[in-house]
Amino acid sequence: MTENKIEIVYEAIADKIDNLGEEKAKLFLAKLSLLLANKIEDTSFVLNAIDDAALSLNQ
Amino acid sequence: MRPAGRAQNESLYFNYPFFSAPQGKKRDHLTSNAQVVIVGAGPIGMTAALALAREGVKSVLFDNKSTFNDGSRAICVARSSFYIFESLGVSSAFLEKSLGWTTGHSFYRGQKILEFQMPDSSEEKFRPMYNIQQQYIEKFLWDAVSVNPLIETRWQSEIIGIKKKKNECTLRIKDPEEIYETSSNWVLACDGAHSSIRKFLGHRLKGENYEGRYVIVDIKMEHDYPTIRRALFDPDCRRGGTVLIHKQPDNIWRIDYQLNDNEKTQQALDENNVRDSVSAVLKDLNYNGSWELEWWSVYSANTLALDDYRDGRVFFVGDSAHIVPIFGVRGLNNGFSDAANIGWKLGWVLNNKAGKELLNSYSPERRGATIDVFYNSSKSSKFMTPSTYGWKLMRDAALSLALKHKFAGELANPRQFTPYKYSESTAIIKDTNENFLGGPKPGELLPEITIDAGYLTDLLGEGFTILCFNKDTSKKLDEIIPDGISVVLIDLLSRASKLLSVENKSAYIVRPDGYIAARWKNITPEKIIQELYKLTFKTEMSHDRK
Repeated sequence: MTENKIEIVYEAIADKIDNLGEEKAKLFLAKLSLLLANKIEDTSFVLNAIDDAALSLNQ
Repeated sequence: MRPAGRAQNESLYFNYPFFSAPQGKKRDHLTSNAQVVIVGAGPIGMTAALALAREGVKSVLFDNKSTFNDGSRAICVARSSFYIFESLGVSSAFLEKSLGWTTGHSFYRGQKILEFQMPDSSEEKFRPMYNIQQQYIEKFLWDAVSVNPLIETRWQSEIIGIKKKKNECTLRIKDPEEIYETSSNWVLACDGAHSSIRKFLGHRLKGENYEGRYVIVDIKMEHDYPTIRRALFDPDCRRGGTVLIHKQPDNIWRIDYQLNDNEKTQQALDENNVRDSVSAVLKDLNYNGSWELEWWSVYSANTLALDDYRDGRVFFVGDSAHIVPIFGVRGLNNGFSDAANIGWKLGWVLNNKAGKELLNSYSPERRGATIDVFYNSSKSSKFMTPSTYGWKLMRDAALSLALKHKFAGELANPRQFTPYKYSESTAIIKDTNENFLGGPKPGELLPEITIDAGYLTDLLGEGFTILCFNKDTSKKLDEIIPDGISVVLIDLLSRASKLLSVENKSAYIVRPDGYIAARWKNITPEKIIQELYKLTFKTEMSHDRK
């Protein structure tokens, strides 16, 4: 994905979260993850991404 | 603001000059009509005066202060501005003093997540960006303004009223000795964000006020770090906020830090709070040496502009016409472009080398550039200072991912480097369907490339320049060309010709400000001259031939 494409996606998700409100953000993001994962053949890739996303989460 | 015990202009590194109001014989002609009045002798007003003087046009420059702006303010001067300095004959002082840079580093919680390079190569004459304090910018421009016989500067002279008439404006001026009136055919309002001319004429800036506020501080310290822009996201010293660090000449460092919503502006500007905040930043930078506080101020990320940069015989130039957020470093740089743009256009019209219609292109071209900055900097602002839950969440997600994934770090890359294109302007001729396979289009800046022992832009004349690529065209053009137009023959086999994507009978016309006005794949010399009439809004070239 080019830089510009990821930017478009980034902004669309940010705006959608703001439209839905903070309360619904978690469920929305979980659903989005499943929808995207469903399109990916390589399960190990998705599992690795799950681990990667869990890194550096300490606030 | 300055630390307690130091006067407003008591700097650690810069001696402010003192300018008196006009005195003695200089007061004899105060009320005489001036062809062009420029309000504000800041960097933009002085650039406009020099740009007009370059066209041989006289101006009177007014400023209500007795010296330069206090504090450093704008510090990043872009490549495009250096071309303007060069055309005004002042670039060498800037090159000697300023610090050129190409690299930026972004950190998230102390870890580097992005290293960006601005476009640069050995084909470029100037670096993409230079850091220099605004006092030096004003000093170097003043060194040229003060010795120019076409520019008269009146310091300590405040405009307290303006009236529009059919063929001129009447200005009311207050200086330490009296209040007087003078008339002027044209007025350039270069009087900054709080422009009084704008208020007198009843115009308002429109747009958005963003919540993001930054304190900008200059300190003096012996800090061993190259001229690289550093952005600290969510650092220990300022959780949830962003800090920007720039090196300036004379061991002066600029630190911009974002205020959080709970910090009141007035409190944040308190000297002790500024010192504490700076100390915390320096700790994050692992700097343990001594430092001195030089100057500080506060800045909001606003995107505001006038609907029209022109009101009859008054043109708004620089911050009087537009206010932009700091991240794009486009406030001062766009102001320079405004001043250069109106400078050559008004000069050409007043010299009867162009029709008055040329002036109509000023506002669309320069307002277009502002709107382009708004678009890019509102994107930057939303990333740097996210004000909603969704944008903040996504920003934090991107920064957190960036520690391991390069693509996410690129989201933190500031978008500030493409010069605006005047593609829709009336002061260019759009490509016809002649199918250039590449090369820069009309409305774009002429790209730079090395040619012979110098650079392509070195070949440009002071007025319009025709680039042609065979001897016969060049010879014929020299016979029929009007005064003020230069003809440059470029070897068809050169790399420059390849860059411009030209053939034997191609031609480019470049405007006095370095923008491409028109280009043709295949054109005759006679037709080029006809097209030049269009570009200068003349039915024929009425001025003298060579």
